[in-house]
Order: sequence, then structure tokens, then C-alpha cells
Amino acid sequence: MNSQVDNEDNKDNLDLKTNNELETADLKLEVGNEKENDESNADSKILDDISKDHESSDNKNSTDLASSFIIDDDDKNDSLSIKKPPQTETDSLISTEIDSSKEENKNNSDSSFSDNHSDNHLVGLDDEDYKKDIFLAPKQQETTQLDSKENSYHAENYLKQKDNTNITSPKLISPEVITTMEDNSILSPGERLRKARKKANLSIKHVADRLFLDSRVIELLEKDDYENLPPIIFIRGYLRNYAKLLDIPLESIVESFDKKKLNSSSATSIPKRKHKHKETTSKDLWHTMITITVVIILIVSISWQFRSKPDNLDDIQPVIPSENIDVNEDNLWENNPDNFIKENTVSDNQEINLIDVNQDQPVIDNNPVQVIDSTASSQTEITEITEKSLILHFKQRVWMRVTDSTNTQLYEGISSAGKIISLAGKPPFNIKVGNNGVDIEYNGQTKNIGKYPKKNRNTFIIDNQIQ
Amino acid sequence: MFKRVRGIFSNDLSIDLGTANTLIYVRGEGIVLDEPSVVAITTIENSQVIAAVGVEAKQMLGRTPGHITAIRPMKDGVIADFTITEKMLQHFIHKVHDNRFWHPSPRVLICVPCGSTQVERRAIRESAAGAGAREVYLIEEPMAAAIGAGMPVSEATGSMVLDIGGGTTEVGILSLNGIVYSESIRIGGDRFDEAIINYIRRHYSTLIGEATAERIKHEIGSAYADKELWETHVRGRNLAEGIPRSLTLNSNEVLEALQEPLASIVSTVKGALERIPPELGSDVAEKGIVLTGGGALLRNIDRLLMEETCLPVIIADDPLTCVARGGGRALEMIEEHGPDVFALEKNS
Repeated sequence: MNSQVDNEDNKDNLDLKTNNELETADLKLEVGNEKENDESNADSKILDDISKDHESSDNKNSTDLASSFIIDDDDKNDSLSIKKPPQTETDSLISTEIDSSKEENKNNSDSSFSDNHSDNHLVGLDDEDYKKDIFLAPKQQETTQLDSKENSYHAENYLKQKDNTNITSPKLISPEVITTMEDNSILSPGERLRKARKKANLSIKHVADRLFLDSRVIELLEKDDYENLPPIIFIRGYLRNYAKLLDIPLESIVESFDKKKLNSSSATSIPKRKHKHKETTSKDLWHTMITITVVIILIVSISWQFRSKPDNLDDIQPVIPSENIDVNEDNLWENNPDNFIKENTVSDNQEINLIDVNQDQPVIDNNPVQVIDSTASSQTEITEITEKSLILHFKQRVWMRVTDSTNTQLYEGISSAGKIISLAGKPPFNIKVGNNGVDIEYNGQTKNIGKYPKKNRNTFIIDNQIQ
Repeated sequence: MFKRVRGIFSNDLSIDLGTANTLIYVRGEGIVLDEPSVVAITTIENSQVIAAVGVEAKQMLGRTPGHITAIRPMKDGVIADFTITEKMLQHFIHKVHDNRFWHPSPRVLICVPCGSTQVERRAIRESAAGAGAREVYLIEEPMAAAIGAGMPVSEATGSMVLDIGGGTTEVGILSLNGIVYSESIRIGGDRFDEAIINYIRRHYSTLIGEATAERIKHEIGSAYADKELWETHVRGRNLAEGIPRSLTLNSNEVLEALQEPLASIVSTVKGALERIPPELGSDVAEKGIVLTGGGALLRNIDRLLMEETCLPVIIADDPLTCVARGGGRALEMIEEHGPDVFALEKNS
């Protein structure tokens, strides 16, 4: 039932192939496959040759085709039974001439049979050609008078095309075919299209109308003048559409166009160039990135080292004291540790001066006033880390008592104005005074005693924190 | 900082995150991944584990047992399932960057439909960032498709591109590296499949699956009446009998089934031609419309558009990969000329 319906559907197709024996086909269909196979076996020897020719190229395609496209098994057999005789007759002449030792493949007759008949159905076309055939729009075929002519032309053309592509087939070796092969390989895409158009009896105007392009564009395409046409992608598209219209295998046209483009060394190979360019840039980029990171890492590590070093250096390096020690008591509370060290050294130097100046002055015996000579300066530097010096500048006659943190009394007594006394001990110092007429130099700062924090009414504390 | 260091060892990627297929283009290497956007998830004790991604998962689509679900996380060109998309992207990015002993952190350019909303774009961007991208650029699909097809987008001449994808169809008219007009409709290959399913259900009372519908479309689908008739056998469940039955479908029937979505596409193209400035319209009329995307492979679609618009229509070379290749080229252009070449949306 199914197959009959299919057959009816297919009548159109078969008609297109100028087949007059449909009715007999229907009759044979009823007989069934097996009988047909028997029939065909009679021709199997002849068929074998053909099948071999086709097997290599068609086998893959035909399986696809059989599974997917119109042709039912039954239909195929129909078309075979119709078409086989003429085909095989002609083939047999050629094939027997060329190769008579191919009879071993009898078993293949069945499978090759189906291959073959699918071929036959397509009027001896490659399946691919067949598929391409389908792309052609129907209008032209249906409406114009050219139809029958064109169809017959197509059939011829297909045969030639097939011959051209199927080089392995022994059938091909005929001088005519070889010349067309050479022609096609030599001919430019434009030439090929022009020839095909003329064979199909189409005017440029007609083609332009069908492709919705200007006649000028068609002319340029046929002249292979690509300079005055839009970018390559469009040219390729036009060529493809044109080839589709004329039933020329699309890819061969596009390939020959590409070749021609390459030969004329125009910019067809943009993608390739891009690739090369890309590779180099990405590689370069990679290298620069790595070097940049390495450099960054180096810089960071070096800067770290430098940042930690200065602290130590500051501790060790004695800083030469600057002359302008602030006596104005303005910056008393604003000192920083760096200054502290400066002032220490300053006080040392001043101590020495002081002692030179006051050498003849009697010093009160009980008080452990440290008289530091110049030679001992290095020693004091070390001891000063724990012991701090305190210099008292008397402005009035003042009684005072100085004790350090260990409760050792450093000084007690009344001193007259203008006297300078240097003391050393461990801070904090407790200073008890009768009045405020004394300036105390501590950590390089000279301040009136009244400026130091008070412990009680007349006792002051001079501490490390106090600067 | 650490991401940037990792970035040195990652390649820049251009991803065409399509409804049907995801393509990844790596700078300097070309298309390295082309897989269906399908993820299969296994549920084991209330926790979800990814069972398969890509081709493997697509084979499971519609054929899964209870504990496995095969999902298409993209729908109509945008993300339908955020987490699954993220996982899928992660999987693909890792696949592209194999032999790396740390997580890749590439710069990624993703193509988005021009009609997608801010929310949809943000979802795509975030899922890419979640998948490990260092920087995410978004490019609109018509632009990427045109660049990929090799159209002269940077010139002062109008170029019209029609990208028929799995979920969306985008039409764009471009000039001077920018989009002059673009329109996106949510009709694409998926809708074709749906139309075929519906047609067979209506006319043959037979239910077929999406995969079968897709096969029919590939084999005998046609957008314009042909002189040749193609047929194929289809097996589906007969609704009346409830038993799988075989039926034969020919290309004219498929053409009839596809009429509705095809008409929408044609009207979109016509609408775009109506709305563009006349100068660009004349440029387009002179050179023609370029077709890209999987839909361009539908038989005779170019003929249909030619007949409907009376303009030359050409199919780009390798239409399936145009968008991804165009994205890759855009990345290179960004590298060469800075990120301001296109109106890209950038987010890092």
C-alpha cells in the first residue's frame, strides 16, 4: 500500500527523467524484490563492472540516501528495472573492453545493485550531485519553455560532471572527457559560468533577474573582474548562487575562485594571516607579561628590604647635632624619637663644653655629679641607653633635690644663678625644688621646670615619655 | 592580583553561548569546541551532580531514567537556568584549558542576542564570571556574525546580516563598527522543530520527540518549494492507538509545517528593510543580505528570502561558526585598537 502511494508520488520525478515505462514498473513492483533480483542476476556480470565503478564512490552516499530520502526500497527497484537495461548495455561495452577480470564480485551484486539503481534513478549521477540538483528552484523548471531542453542538458551535464569528478572510474578514459576535465581545471570560474550559461541558453539579463543582481555584476563575475565587486564574501556568495542556478557543483566553482584569488595574491587568506599575526602577538604578550611580573616581584622585594633597613640604620648612625637647638620651648611636646637620639648626642657634646667651662667651679662633693671627659664619650653613648643625662641650668638661687628611679639621690643642695650641673641616672627622675628658677635640659630640650608634669606641689617628674 | 597572574596562563575566549550549540573560539587556535548546550544532571541523595555535558548529554535528551535529567539551560537565546549554565560554561572553559594545573582565568567575550534585556545580559555575565572568567565582554550577535562572515563592518557602508540561531533570529544592519538597526525575534531552529512536531500531531495524530523533529528538519526540511520531493520515514507514537507507528513525511509537508516561523522571519527582514535609512538600504540592495547561523543551512532558505525581498541573499561560509569566529576577531580588534572599537559592554 505504502509503496504504491510512493510510486504515485514519484511519478513526477520519474517523468522528469523522461521515463516512459512507469506502468511496467508498477507491474514489476507487484512481483516483488526477489524476482527482480533474479532478473538482475542475469545481468550481474555486466552489473558487477558497473557496480565496482560506483561502489567506491557511491557506497557511503547511498546508505545515507537510502535511509533519508524519498526513495523507498520498492521504488528503487522500480526505477532500476526501468532504467537498467540501457545503462548496462552501454556500460558493458566499455567495461568489458577495459577490464574483463572483475567477475569475482558476484556476491556484491545485491548491495551494489541497490547502489547502482539509486544511481540509475538519478540518471547516473553521484548522490551529491543529486542532492545539489534539489537545491535548484523549481520555478524555472516549471514555468519556462526551456525546461525540457535544460533538463536534457542537465542530464548530459551531470554525466560529464560525474565523469570529471570520478577519476577512478574506468569509464572516464575517453578523450572527450579528458579534454573537458582539462578545460574545467584551466578555466576560470567566470569562464565556466559563462560557458554553462550559454549552454543553458540563458541571457545575462535572465540570470541577473533570477539572482536579483545587476546585469553588470553578472558580467563582472564572468569576466573574473573582482576589483569592482563587493568584498570577497559577497563574491563567493554570488558565485555559489550562480553555480546553483546553472547546476554546476558549487564547491568546485568556489575552489577555483579561491585558487584564482590566491594566484592574484589578493587578500583571500585573511584568516590565515590573522592566525599568524595572532600567534606572534599572543606569544609576545605572554613573554612581556612574565617579564613584567618578574620585575614587579623584584621591585617589591627590594623595596621591602629598604623599608626595613632604614630603621636599623637610624638606630646606629650618630646624627650630627644641628646648632639651633630650640630654646624657645615651643616644640617641647612635638618631638619624635629621631630627635630624641639627636638630642642625646647634643647633650653629650654640650656636657663636654660645660665641663670645660665649669672646671674651676667647685662641685658639691656628696652629689654624684658625673664629670664626663671627652674620652668617655663612646662609653656614655652605650650607658645612655639605660642612663639618661640631665642638665640643670640655674637662673636663680634654688634649692633642689634630684633622685632617679632607683631612688638614688643624684643631687641635693642650693645652687646660685648661672650655674650648670650635669647629672646622670635612670629615668624617671624625681625633682623637688624650692622655686621654679631652674631650667632643665633633658633629651636635648631645655625647659623650665614648671613645664614638666607635677607629682605634687613642688615635686616634678622627668620621664622618658616626657620629651 | 592572583587572578591576573592566572590570566597570563589562560587564553582569551570568544563564546557563542547559543540555545542549541555552544561554540568556543580561542585566539590563535580557532574553534576549539562545538557542543550542544545540554547538561545532564544526576540526583544522588538530594544532591545534584553533573553527569554529562555536551554531545553526550544531548544523546540523553528525552531518554533519561528518573534520577537523570537532561536540561537545555538556554532558552530563546538567554539563560533559563542560571546555575546549570554556569556549570556548563565552567565545564567548557576547563575543557578548552586542559593540561593546566590551576583554574583558568581567561578574558571572555560572549555573544548575546541584541534583544536581550539588561537582566538577561547580567545573568550571562555573572554566569561567565562564576565560571572563572577574569573579564567578561558582551557583544551583540549580529555584530559578531557580520564580523565572522567577513563583512566590511568597519566601512561606511551598510551591511545586513540575518542570523538564524537555535533560539533567536537576529537581523542587523551595520555600518562603521556599529549597529544601525537590529531586531531580534525569538524564533529559530527550536521553533522549526516545534512546528514540525505540531504538524505531525495534527495531521497524523502521531507524537514525535524533539530529536526526531530535528532529524526531519535536517533531512528534508525546506523553506521553498522544490522541484524534487524528498521523503523520510518517521516513527512516533500514534495518539489514537498509543503504539509507536511509522509514517512517511515528504518535504512539502515539512515546508507547510514551517510556514509560520518562516513567515515571521521574512516579515522581520522586511520590517528591518523598511526602517533603515535609505542610504543603507541602497547599500544592502546592492550587495545583498548575508545569512548566518544554523538556520542558514535549511534548504532553500536563501531562495525564499530572495523571492520575498527581491534582494540578493547569500549564505556565509561555514554559517554555524560565524558568530564565534566573529567574536574571536572582535577580541583581536580589542587587543589591537583598545576596547572602544565596538560599543562593547565590559565588566570585570
